[in-house]
Parts: sequence; C-alpha cells; structure tokens
Amino acid sequence: MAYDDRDLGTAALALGAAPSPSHVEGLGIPLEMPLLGPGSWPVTPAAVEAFRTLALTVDGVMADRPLQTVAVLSAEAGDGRSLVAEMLARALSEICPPVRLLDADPFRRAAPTRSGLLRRWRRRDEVETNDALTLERPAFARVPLARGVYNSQAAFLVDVRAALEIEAQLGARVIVDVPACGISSIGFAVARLADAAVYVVRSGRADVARHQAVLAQAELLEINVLGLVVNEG
Amino acid sequence: MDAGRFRAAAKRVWLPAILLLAAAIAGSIVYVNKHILPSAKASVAVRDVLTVNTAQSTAAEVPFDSIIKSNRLTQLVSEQLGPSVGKVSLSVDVVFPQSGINISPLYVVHAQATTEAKAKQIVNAAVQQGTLLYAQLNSVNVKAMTAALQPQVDSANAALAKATTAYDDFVAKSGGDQSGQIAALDAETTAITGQIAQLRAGTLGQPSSTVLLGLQQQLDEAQSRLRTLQPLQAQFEQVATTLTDAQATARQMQQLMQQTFASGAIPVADQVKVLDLASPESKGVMKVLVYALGLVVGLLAAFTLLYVEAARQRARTTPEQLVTTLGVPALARIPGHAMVRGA
Repeated sequence: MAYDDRDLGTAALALGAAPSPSHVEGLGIPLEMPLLGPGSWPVTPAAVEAFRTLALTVDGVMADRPLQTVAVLSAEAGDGRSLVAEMLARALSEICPPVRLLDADPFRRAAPTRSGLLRRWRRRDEVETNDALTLERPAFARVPLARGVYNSQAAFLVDVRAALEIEAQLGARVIVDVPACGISSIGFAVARLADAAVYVVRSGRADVARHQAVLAQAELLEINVLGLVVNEG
Repeated sequence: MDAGRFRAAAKRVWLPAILLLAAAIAGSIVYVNKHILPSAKASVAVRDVLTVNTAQSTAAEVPFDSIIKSNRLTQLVSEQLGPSVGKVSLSVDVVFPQSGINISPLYVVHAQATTEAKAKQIVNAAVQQGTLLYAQLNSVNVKAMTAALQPQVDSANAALAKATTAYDDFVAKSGGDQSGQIAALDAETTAITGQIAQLRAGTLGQPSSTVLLGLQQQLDEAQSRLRTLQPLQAQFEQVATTLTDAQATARQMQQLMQQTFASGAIPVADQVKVLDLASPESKGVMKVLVYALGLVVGLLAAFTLLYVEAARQRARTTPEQLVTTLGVPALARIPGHAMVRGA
C-alpha cells in the first residue's frame, strides 16, 4: 500500500457499509493509524495537517447541508488547484469515506514541476486506487474522464454530470478538479454542477483584481463558494 | 502581465503617469527654447596651406577650422559686433571634396544667437575675422627665412668657386679630358700586339727580325704613354665630379631662395574664398525630433510607472489582505513548500 492510513477498514467501508466502531476508534489511535507524511503523501506533514483541517471544515459544512459535490476553483493555472483537490479528497476520505476525485480538467497538459511530482506520485499509487468501480469501494478513488475525446463543451459536461450522478447514487462524496476559471469557462460550468466550491488562491503574487472578478462571476452564476484555500507556496 | 492588471494600475496611478508624460514633453519644449536657437551658416573654401605655400615652409600651419573654434576669434567677433549680439557661439563643419586632386576642404561656419539676424551677423563677422587671422598666422616670414638660408647659399657658392678653380687649373696643367687619347692608345696597343702574334705564328710568312723589332718598339712606346695618361685621367674625373656636385648644390640653394621670396609675395588672405554668405539655418526637423524624443521618453516613463505599480500591487498581497480584500472566509492556509520532492 502506498499509504497505510488508507487501509482503515477499506472493506468495511465498501459501498453500502457503515464504518464499524472499531474503525472509528482506530482513527484516534496512532499505533493503529500511522500519521501521514513524507513517503505516503507528496506533501509535508504541516501541509497534511492543513488539508486535514480543510477536510474537517468542508465536512462540517457538508454535514449541515445536502452537499455531495465540491468543486475546486481557481483563477489561474499554477494556483495549486489540483494539489488542493487531490489532498482534500484524500483527507476527506479519512473522515467521511467514500470520496472520489473527479478530474474534470480536459486541458491538463505536460505540467510544471509541482504537478509533475503529483503525477509521478499518482502513477506510483495508481495500481491500487485507479479503479473506481472495484467491488470493494475504497475510501478514496480517482474518477477519470475520457480526456481529449470530446467534440464540444456540452458533451464534456454531459459526461461530468453523468459521473457525478453515478457517484451520488453510490453514496460517495466527490471533489471535482476543474480548469482554471481565467483560462476556460468549463471551470464555471462544472462548478455550477457541484453543490459547492472552494476557491484556491496563491498568496504573495496574487492578482487581487482578477480574483475579485472570478469570485464576482461565481456569485453571478450562483456558485456556492464555501471559502478560500490560501496557498502560501 | 495581462491587460487587466495594467488597466487596474492605470486607474490607480493615472495622474502621476500623465504628470510624467507632461514633464517629459515640457522638458523637450524647454530644451528646444533654450538650446535650439536660431542659427546661420556660411560656406568658406580655403586653399590648403601646403598648396599655397610652394616653398613648403616649416612655418606653423593653422587650419581654418581651428581658427573658427578658437577663443581668440570669438573674442575678436565679440569686440567687432559689441555686446548687443549677446554670447558668440561658433562651430564649424569641415567637408573634404571627393576629388583627389584638390585637397583643399570646404568649411561651413555655424553660429547661434537669439535671433536669425544676429546669427547672420556673427557668422559674417567670424568669416571676416577668421580670414584675417588665417592670413596672419599662416603668412611666411621672408626675412627670417632668407636670413636662415643665406649662410647655406654662401657656403654652396664658395664650394662652387673652389671646384671651378681646381678644374680650370687642372685643365691648364694637364690638358683636360684625356679619355679620347687613352682610348686611341688602347686600340693601337691591341693592333700591334695582334700583328706581332701573327708574325710569330707564321701566318704572314717568314717574320723579319727587323720588322718584329720595330713593332715591339712601337708597342713599348704606346704602353709607356698609357701608363702616363691613366693617372691623370683619374685625377681629372675627380675634379670634374666635385665641380658638378658643387654646381648642383648651388643651383638648389638658389631655387630655394627664389621660392621663399615667391611665397612671401603670395597674399595668403586671398586663398580664403567665401562661397556662401551667412544665411539662416532651418532647425524645424531638429525641433520635431526633440519633441518626439520628449514624447517617447514621457510615454516610456509613464508606462514604466504603470508597470511598476501593477507589479508592486501584485507582489504585496498577503494572505490576510487577500481574505480581507476578497471578502470570502479562509477555510485553510496551505503552508509554503508543501510538496515533497521525490514523493
């Protein structure tokens, strides 16, 4: 296994099964559940804890409302959107599995270094996590779309909508990684299909005016932005 | 940096940017009014000093452009025109003709003043005073030159007189050139030697001892005369060469003296020919260029200000500012360098 914590009763958490008390107890016992960190996650321990906090917050918000799907938005490429989506999905899968990560970015290309690291880490982990239709229903899984085969945005959105509906029927929460809103309107379109969204912004060199414009547009489109994830990297 | 950020920066600092642009344009206007003054120019052709001075004297050669640039000329022009013309500012361009035969350049004298009329006055006065100064500085001092040359001329003449006397004495005593006589004696000895050889070989029959003896006596006499004449001829050639050299030196010194007198007789000032009298110069193109430069510099400064403001605005956003500015609660802060290399 690429990370031991994922094995917190994967079989018991399969489709339709509720977590047993022993598993819930196991969440708080370090000996049974090693801390996440380098070697299992591609981020530093401090970042892992930050994502866990984010997951708790999102889970708290989702618990009050019928939220199943959360889109991860950002204005520009390089804000750390995919990292946040991946880590949020994994952290959320620790506390309220099953969670699926839907990669709804049809424009993802050969990426810069950080995304490259993330991809490499994903490949290492792929053998055990890429099959979302496994009978065992793992706590976390990635839901890929057929990238590059869509003739129109409408066709792509149909596919996304279908994937979300299937996962909703299966009782999974879905974190959706969308294209940057400053690059493509698909970001907004997919976010409208989700129940809520988190907005990733990179501090330090942030273009405030641009973020304001994107958030204003999201408000116009009635996208429920839960809050900011400030990426200080 | 995209256009949106640039526009946002423009909204914030449009006034300083416009002030920068206005300052640059105002600077160009001030520069034009202060430094690009009305000016006039005149063209002057001056025959080259070395061409004028046939003696190629070693006297100081002062080119016309150096005179125009000199403070002395500025002072002379100021004195001539009085204080009403203001500050005298002269410059000169030197144009060399493409023809390789005439090496005398053309000088274009420029002057600036507060008005075109004053500029023309200054140029004309500068050409007039410059011509006088040129003549004064480049004229040959004949008296000094002849005084310097005279001892050399006297020495050459004395050497010539001595060589002539020696030659005349030698001719009187020894008969002058003996080369013809020596050549005749050479031919005679050769002929006698040939006859004797033939007689001894028997080609002319049985040789008579009397004939042979006679030929031998003739040969001895000819050779004896040759031995007398040959040293005399060598002495003659030496005396003649000395005389020739002395004549050449004396002739050369004579020519030098003549050229020196001729140089002094040529009026140097006449070698300065004014082709065009002072006329106003158009500075329109220069003014337009300066205005354009001011505009470009102003635009560059204004855009630089906008760029710096846009970059500064982007660089100074802290997480707290972001949250405050965007008005959306922060769910989490991901610390820097979150990714683990090699994970």
